[in-house]
Amino acid sequence: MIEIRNLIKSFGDKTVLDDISFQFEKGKNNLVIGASGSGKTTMTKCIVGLQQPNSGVVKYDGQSFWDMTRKQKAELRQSIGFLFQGGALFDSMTVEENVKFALRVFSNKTNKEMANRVDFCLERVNLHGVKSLYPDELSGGMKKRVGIARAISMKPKYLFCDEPNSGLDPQTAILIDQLISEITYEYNITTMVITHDMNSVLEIGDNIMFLHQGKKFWNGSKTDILNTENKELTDFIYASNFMKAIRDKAK
Amino acid sequence: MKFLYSLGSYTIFLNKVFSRPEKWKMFRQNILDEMINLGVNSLPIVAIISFFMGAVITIQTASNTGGGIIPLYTVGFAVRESVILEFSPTIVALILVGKIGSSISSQLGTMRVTEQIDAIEIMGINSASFLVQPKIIALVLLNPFLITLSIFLSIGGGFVAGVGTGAITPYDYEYGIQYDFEAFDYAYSMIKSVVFGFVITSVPAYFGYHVKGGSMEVAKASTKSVVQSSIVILGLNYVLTQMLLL
Ligand SMILES: Nc1ncnc2c1ncn2[C@@H]1O[C@H](COP(=O)(O)OP(=O)(O)OP(=O)(O)O)[C@@H](O)[C@H]1O
Ligand SMILES: [Mg+2]
Repeated sequence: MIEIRNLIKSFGDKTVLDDISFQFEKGKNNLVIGASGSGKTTMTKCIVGLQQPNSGVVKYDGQSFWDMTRKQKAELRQSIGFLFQGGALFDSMTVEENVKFALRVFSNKTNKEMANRVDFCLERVNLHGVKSLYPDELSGGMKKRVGIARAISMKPKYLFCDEPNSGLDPQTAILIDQLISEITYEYNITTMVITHDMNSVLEIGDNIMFLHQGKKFWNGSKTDILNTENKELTDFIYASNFMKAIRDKAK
Repeated sequence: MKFLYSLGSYTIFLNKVFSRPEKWKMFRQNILDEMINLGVNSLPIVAIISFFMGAVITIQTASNTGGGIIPLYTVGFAVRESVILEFSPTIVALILVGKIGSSISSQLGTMRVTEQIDAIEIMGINSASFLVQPKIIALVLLNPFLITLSIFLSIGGGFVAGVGTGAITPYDYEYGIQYDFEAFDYAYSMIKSVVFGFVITSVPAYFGYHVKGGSMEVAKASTKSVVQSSIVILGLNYVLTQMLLL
């Protein structure tokens, strides 16, 4: 479980995260939704310490992140899997080397065992025959999936995915959602997924948080979300005609 | 004030760079890779520059000493001294700043703006140590060899040019380059090589690692790292010369 309390982050005089408190629960798909620029990526980066919040508490299973020593932070991070919004693949390495990277640094596995693990991770994101390609030889969606494979290579206890299925076709997008969800339940880990995709929200949203202009406006589950009265949230959800049609039909 | 601030954050950076590597086996491999990448790949440019540098110094010295009072072998002597003491360690260092320094800075800068450095950090790896330490160690180890090679090639270039143009006889040149040789001069040259190897890698790494922004900032950092490294090298060159030779 990851708990954030009164998280505040500003860039200059622009407040991007305005006093946010939330609990990302273990064994559940915790989704963060919100418009572009609402602070989702910034919040995630403050949680993992890639950016320093101005104030607030971040706790991993009760342990306060910003009170940890450098060594403790490094150890915690070995149990974090992180998919960057832009992929952030190592461009001088092949797909295989990307996925193997953390294994090579931290595990005592033999080459054979590492190769097997890489195959397994790539298999899970439905990627075949791309092991020896470089990131610039991949399509956008393939890069995303390699990023996910890399994030899960070390069997993380905490999994962060920043828009895992943006840029993917609907079929692959659902596959990725299911994969994330499976991993979450199977290994009972704390997963946090940032998404714009209402499909994902309704498919895997166990615990959803809605960010709007740096504030938490709403939280609940996928069943709650369709009955919400929150104005900002309904504007967000029912922006498309497709979603409007679903709502009208349900009525 | 700004200088002190930079010096402080450079020191903090080095402190982060020189912490214990996560895994020795990988660390050794990375050092070997960087030795090839930074050192061996610099051989051609170092060789060409050294050869022609020696050739030009020899012809210039010969044309300036051609009076009759000064014995001809002084040309060989002067070439040897200036090459060992100054031209090879310092000029080659400045060339390497342009070749190696700018590439280190733009590599790290690009990795910074594309979040690859964050990706390393988030795995629990000290990115500064992982990316930068092997580069510094590789060049600090290899630069003395590069400079030694440069010294030999310069003196060889001088021989070819001096004898080839008839400015000096092979006998005088060979006598000159052996005349009154002091091993300390070579040691002094190697001390400079080690120090400059450190500067050529660590200063550009500092600028590249701390890039904020996009491609424009990467380019600026690369330029800045070449300028600053060159200034640091020339400054240290003066300090070392005064310390060691006076
Ligand atoms: N390094 C930074 N410096 C200054 N401002 C920043 C920085 N990073 C983000 N911001 C600002 O913070 C706000 C939130 O950005 P963030 O990337 O968190 O949005 P997001 O919710 O992830 O959006 P998207 O869905 O488009 O990815 C934006 O207004 C952005 O301009
Ligand atoms: Mg984002």
